[in-house]
Amino acid sequence: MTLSVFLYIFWAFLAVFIIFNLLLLRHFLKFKYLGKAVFPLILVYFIGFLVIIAVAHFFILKADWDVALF
Amino acid sequence: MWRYFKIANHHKFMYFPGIEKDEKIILLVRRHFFAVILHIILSIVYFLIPPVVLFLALTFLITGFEELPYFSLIILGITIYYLIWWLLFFKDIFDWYLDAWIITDRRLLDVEQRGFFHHTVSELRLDKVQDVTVEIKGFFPSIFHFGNIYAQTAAAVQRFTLEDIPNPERVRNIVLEAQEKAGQKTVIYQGSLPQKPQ
Repeated sequence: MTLSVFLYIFWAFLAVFIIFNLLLLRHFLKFKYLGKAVFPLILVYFIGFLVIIAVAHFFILKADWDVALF
Repeated sequence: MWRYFKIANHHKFMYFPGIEKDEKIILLVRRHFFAVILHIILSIVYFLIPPVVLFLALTFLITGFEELPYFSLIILGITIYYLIWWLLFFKDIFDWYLDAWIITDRRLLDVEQRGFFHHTVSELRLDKVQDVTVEIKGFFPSIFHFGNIYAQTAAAVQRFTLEDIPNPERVRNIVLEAQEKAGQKTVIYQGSLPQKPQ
């Protein structure tokens, strides 16, 4: 058993998180009371979200995942 | 982006479900930005925790970054931390941004957002408004000039409240002016209002 198990668990978490974010996007795009005013905020949120994932994967791809756990 | 932000904020481009024919939006107000400053400062502190802890660990405990025990797991942990941090940071921003009073020439709409999924919209016809009270309480509200506004109906069923709004006297005057135009006969003023010229 190697550290890569945790990487797969992390990607599963990320998949759930992405689905949650897409539902959030759908929820706020249906928000009628302030027109399209909420759109720039959602855009900033998603850009930040993608930046965090991109930076994380820069380090994840460099890291060694074949280290034995036990 | 900023231009779009400004245009989108402008009430001429506003829309809400159930808007009546020829109903005009007079004003959109939301809480003073000072009300969310504390959340932003706290978020910055939370943002700085992982790099500070890593820096201290590398300076005093471990010689090299790559030599950190379970270095890969630390990356995953920090990523999850920042994903949740970013989500909670925006929860506060959305909460502030979507909490608003919409004043039209016929009614008041109180759009209240709590978190991401709790959303309440209350409506009060201007001809039902009996008095509008302004409250500026505390050091920072007095300095930065923001406060609470309460709109009371005759039925006293529910008091409309908007907290921490900038320049509350101006908003009260706008509400009362709209109310007069809407055909209200009896208006009870609380507090001091500038006298209208005869």
